[in-house]
Amino acid sequence: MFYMYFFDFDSFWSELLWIMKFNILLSLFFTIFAIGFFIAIIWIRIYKNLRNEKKKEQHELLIEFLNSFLFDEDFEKEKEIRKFKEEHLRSSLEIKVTIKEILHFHENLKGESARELEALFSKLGLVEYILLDLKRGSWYTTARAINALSELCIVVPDHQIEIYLNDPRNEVRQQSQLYSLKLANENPLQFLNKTVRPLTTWQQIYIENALKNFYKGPPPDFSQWLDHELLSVVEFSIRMIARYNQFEHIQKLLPFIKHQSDIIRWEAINSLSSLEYTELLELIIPDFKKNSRLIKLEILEAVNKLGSHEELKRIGDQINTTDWELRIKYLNIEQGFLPDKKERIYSQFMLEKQFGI
Amino acid sequence: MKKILVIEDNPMVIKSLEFKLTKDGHDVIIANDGREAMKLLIENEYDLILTDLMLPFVTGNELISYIKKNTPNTPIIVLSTSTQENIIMDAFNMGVDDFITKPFSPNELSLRVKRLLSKS
Repeated sequence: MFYMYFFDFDSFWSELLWIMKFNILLSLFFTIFAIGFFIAIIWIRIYKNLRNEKKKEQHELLIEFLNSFLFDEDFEKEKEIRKFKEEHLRSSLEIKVTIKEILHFHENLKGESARELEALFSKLGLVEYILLDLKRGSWYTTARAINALSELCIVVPDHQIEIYLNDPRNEVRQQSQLYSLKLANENPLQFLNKTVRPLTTWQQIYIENALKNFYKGPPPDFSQWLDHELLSVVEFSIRMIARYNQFEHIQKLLPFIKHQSDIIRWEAINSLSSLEYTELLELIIPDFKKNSRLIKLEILEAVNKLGSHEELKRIGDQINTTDWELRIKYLNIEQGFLPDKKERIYSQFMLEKQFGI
Repeated sequence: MKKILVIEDNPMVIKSLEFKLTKDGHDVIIANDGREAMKLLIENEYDLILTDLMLPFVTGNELISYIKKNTPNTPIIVLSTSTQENIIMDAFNMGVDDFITKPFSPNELSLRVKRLLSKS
């Protein structure tokens, strides 16, 4: 029977119940799907292994090439560069590994070797590849390309980087800011004039760090950004005035202790106190009660730094007895002013706390 | 040929140091971590030791203490990313002969190695 059906598929199929047909088709579908899935996994694995193998090969080749290029006096540079470019920079993977490896070397070396690596990068034609990367569209490719340009100090026309200063992605903005800062001749923070997106706290730290580590020229006059339309830029400038001890701008900072934004007021008090502007206390103590807790705590800190016990006592009456955060801060500072009465202050504090005064 | 032990865990730095120092005519022995370095230090003596401070298993400071206790005349150069004054001071107080910060200039390092080897 089966033998007959085997040769006569049409009659076999037409005589089957619909549920049987459905089951057979479903089984076939899943079998093909499972085989396809299995082949895909194997293929991806093989592809990845081959890619890793190629990466490893290129990596080893580069270590040999770069070390010879940098340290071997008998190495025929021009000829070898040409040969390397023709034979080992053909695929996108080879180019990517080469860029990564040159950056890695550059990160660890300085002096003449670093300069030679920068020259090699151009000679291998990698700058053109990086410039193409800039335009590829994905944010991580752009950020990586700008990072490579700034790491290797490769100067490109301003407009090619400026467009990324206000990119929607933080990472791209950060890299373009670093590029502008590292390659600036005069004003390293000139990019702030073109910035329309707020600086995140992390970006502010990053800029400060880059300014300290990469910029070798004279520090910029930070007061030029005190009237910037972005509060985050104003906040950053106030902080930098204190960090770079620009005492000449103290008068310009004074209006900010009355600013409507708590963050700006806090930064101004903190910076003026860092600059040891003792007249600050006369300006902030009378308004103590009107401020938020954040500012009140900073005022107490300023009194601790610049003031005396008498000035602290002027604040004491203005602190709500149940505001424990402020009370504790106040009593801690008082302990510092009156070390001989430390124990009495502490027992008074415990007593107050016990009775919830 | 002077024997130099390089204790470093960054493969790129290892290769560069090995290449440069071999070119300068030295016999370079590599240890990739503190434990391997300790084993090599127990088995052999070296004319100069070039070490990182942040190493896996045994730290650079522990290695320096060991070297100074057992072979006090072996010159030590520290090659580290650290630029903190207290770390540099600590290293000199432990008796290291030179401190080079990363990123480093291979030519400068080569000269410092030569100077220390000629002294010793």
